[in-house]
Amino acid sequence: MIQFPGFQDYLEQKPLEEADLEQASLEQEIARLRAELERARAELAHLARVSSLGTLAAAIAHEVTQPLTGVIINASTCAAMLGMDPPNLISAGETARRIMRDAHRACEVVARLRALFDKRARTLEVIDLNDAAREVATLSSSELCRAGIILRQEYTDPLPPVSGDRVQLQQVILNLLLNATDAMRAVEDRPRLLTIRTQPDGADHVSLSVRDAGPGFEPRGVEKFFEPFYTTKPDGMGIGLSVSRSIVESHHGRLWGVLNEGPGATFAFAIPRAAKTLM
Amino acid sequence: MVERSTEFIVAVVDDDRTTLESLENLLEAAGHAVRLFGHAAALLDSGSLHEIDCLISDVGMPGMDGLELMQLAHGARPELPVILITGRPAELLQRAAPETQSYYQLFQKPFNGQELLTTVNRALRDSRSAS
Repeated sequence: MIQFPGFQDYLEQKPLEEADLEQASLEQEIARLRAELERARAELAHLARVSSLGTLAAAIAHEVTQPLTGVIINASTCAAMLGMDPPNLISAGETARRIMRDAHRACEVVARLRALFDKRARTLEVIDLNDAAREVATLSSSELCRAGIILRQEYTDPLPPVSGDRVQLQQVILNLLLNATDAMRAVEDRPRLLTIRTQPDGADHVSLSVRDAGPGFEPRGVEKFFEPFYTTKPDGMGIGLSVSRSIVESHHGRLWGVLNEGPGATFAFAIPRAAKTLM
Repeated sequence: MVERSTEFIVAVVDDDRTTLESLENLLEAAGHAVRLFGHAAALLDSGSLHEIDCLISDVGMPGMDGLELMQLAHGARPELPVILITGRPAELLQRAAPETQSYYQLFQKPFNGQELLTTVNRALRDSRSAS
């Protein structure tokens, strides 16, 4: 049989080359899509970060606004009292004392915030979830009180430490608290009881749960809460829980929601205990 | 037009004690009689709605909020000037119904006490000349 070197190859190679080309262009396409997905993911992460900061900023603004309102109103009253003829010195003095008291309250809020953000290094640190939760509870106490919430704190003490980003975990806790508060806004026939609880979870995790006495949710609908942009609130952006879950997952933990035996729902997360080497 | 010889009565409704106390001080120093209420129902239950000349109410409060209170108050007394104060303007954006826009003026906390007082006095003058 006469061999034409290369001919058979040529016959077979042509479609092979085509397939190669096709594969190459598919690979290019996949790489392009992957890059696009990566970019979209980064954008979403950025949006989420900005928005949870927004939630925090709104809570802070509210905390500082209340005492500042008192300071400003009392200052103009004080000036008016001093401007009277004759000046009302006794009332002006009393009003000045109120100004100082309210200004101190505003300073305390700022001091608490400093304590919260000073440890802002993005390195893992060993955290007592009880302390982290207590700080968040204190920071949002006037918000909770305003919404008529009765806060119950049930911490297992001592609690095994976890390692993670303190501020991020506190954003998760704040988000769960504010969600629980929102869930109970319409509750009138029973106490608006909100319970924060910490406890060891299994042999190597620690969990924190936030239990409300609100209307609960559709049993099969719970996963929807974790989808980005899903919200039940008229002014909500629907990012809180999906951000919270991504923060918890970046700590190798999980976040979930269940209906209570009684009224309401419980949202909780569990993250691993700090490794011994970190302690 | 009937000139009133008595002092004006201003009601303040807010769930924040600091705001209540400071507004009491401000309004009393300006010569007004002041009634303070920690929530909307307290004002309605007190029966003093018919005697007040001006209502200052916080918007976001547990139970009935300031917008509902204003609507109820206007149901009974359409001419009553209502001044709203709010810590979050977003609370108003959620409720864009026209009947929620019947306030005399809206102040965002923290606000200038002197400006509020000027507005209260103008509202009192306006409603007196209207009646």
